[in-house]
Amino acid sequence: MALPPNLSQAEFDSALGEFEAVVGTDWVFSSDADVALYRDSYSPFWGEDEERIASAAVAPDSVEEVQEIVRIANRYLIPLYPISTGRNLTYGGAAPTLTGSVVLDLKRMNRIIEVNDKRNYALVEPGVSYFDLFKYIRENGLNLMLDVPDPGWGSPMGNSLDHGVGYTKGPYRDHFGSHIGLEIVSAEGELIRTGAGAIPGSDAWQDFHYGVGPSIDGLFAQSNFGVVTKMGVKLMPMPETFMNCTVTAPRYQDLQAMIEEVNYLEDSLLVGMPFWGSPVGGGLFDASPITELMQNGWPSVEQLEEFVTAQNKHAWSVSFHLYGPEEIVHATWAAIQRRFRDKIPGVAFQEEDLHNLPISDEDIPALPDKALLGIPNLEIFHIVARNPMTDADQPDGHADMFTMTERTAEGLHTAARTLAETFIDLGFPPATHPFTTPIAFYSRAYCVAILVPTWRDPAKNAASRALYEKCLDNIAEKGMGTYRTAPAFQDLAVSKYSFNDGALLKYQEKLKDAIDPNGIISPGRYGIWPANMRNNRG
Amino acid sequence: MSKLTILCVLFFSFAGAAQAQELSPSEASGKVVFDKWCEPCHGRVAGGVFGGFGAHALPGTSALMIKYKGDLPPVLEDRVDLQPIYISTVVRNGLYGMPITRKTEVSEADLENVIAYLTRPR
Repeated sequence: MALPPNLSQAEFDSALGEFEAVVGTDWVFSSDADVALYRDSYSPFWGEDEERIASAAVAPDSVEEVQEIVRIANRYLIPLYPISTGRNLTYGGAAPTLTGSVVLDLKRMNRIIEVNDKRNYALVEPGVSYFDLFKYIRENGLNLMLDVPDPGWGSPMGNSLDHGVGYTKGPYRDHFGSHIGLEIVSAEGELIRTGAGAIPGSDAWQDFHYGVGPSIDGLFAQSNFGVVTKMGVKLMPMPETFMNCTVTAPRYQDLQAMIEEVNYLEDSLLVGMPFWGSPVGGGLFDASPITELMQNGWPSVEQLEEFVTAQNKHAWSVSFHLYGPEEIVHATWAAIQRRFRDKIPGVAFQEEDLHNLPISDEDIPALPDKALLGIPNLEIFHIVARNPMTDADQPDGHADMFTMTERTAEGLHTAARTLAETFIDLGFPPATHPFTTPIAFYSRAYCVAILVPTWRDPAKNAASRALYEKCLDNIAEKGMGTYRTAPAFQDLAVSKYSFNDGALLKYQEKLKDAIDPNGIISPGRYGIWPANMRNNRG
Repeated sequence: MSKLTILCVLFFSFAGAAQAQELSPSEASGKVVFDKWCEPCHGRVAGGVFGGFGAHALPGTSALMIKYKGDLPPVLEDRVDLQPIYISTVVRNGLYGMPITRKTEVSEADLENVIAYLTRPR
């Protein structure tokens, strides 16, 4: 296995001994078999020299142990790579950005310190999963709804710190945006609390996030400025009811008017996450009509309108979950229908039954959209598990790329076209098309999602990497970037945010050098390399 | 309700009760670990519907139904052919979309209990 950079085996053995003195011999993992458990299962470099491999892992149980480990790492100049649950699949998993780092595995720190359903927050440690928090809330009869990402085994803290997202109301879907108060072990081992948590004796840590002076919380997301050991999570009070409602519009060119209306509803906090779709966009397992439409390049608007008419279906749909008291849900739905009817000729509406919340234990398994109700699950793994589309050539993982665009039809179509043409240029069937719809995880931006398969086969991975990188290049040429990516692509993704000769990254690296002078916390994470390792930039 | 259905209900009710009573402490612990770490993908689906995509289907169960095409049960808890080495290898190495599971998540003792549960005599 790898060694930390510039460290001899004897020095490393000595450091491991010091780690063992802190956490016990059971919680330092240095055998080849144990270190292999920290590989990224979905690595786009699996089995190649460039695969990021840890040198060891150490798993503390307390903040004090984290502080001791950080101090030891500073003495030996050993890079540490903190993970919470290490389930950040498609974004690197548990594997470090820099080969030879020691993974600081925080999974054992799994205490739910407080959940308050009068002031609507939780305070958790890194190793708590969404499943754990959901179970705690249910077992204690607390009147709260979580906002969960697709896989429920991840950590609310880890997901937030990687800018993860969910599915309920706008302010809660942005998980870092809905954190409230951090506890951090600095790169030099000092304990810091942010917001009201910095006032000794304060009981408002999870109520008041600013304190006074500059907020530093943002420095600890997608970064490497410290080790977060506690985080507050704002939670939504459990709504009394929910109802799923859908609006459809008949023409290809209706999309911009729909978007403007949805933006009004979303930004007024009247609806849950808008789920966009296209009734003519082809089924999940049958995209043949669209493939045929795109045979001669990107179709004209006239061709697209003709295609919609020939399908005898509406071009676009958007569904909302409406949450709240029954009277308000019904009134909101009536207002939504009135507003769309006034603006777009020919719109149609569908509503499903109104349901009382919380959902009973018996009814959860059959629920189709668990994440929309904050119920953690793993059903998203259908997209990577063997399914009818992949049965013949089953990938081992995937690298997700979300192109971020403004909330306009033009922005969406530009992203979809750029990605489709990139796929075609590199010999792949296009993953996007004129009826590609956005994902509205972030309430003020659109994500256009593509999933690039990853493999245990180096040749196939090389092709996947080339595709992923070319997509990043081409969307950047159109003024777009991504929001999150695996270590293999972080330097490239960050390089696209290059305004004024890369002033942003230069500033981040000045901070890095000041805050973490030995460069021991996650060197290279999201492109931030310490001064002594800048030549590692890919 | 037909006579056959009544007999089946009675048989599986008794079989279930006997099974629950017969779990050793290790197997019972393994069932708890299985329910937390394995069941969300590989569980038995309410209503017995497998193989779909989305509601009423779990990814691991669906994947195994597609993979084995009826030659083996898609629900892991229904398998009687699983070998300890196979279970530990898949848990620690992952397989296709199923990722690696670390010892801070499922300890070696937990894994032994899961193996005891899935390979118990039936």
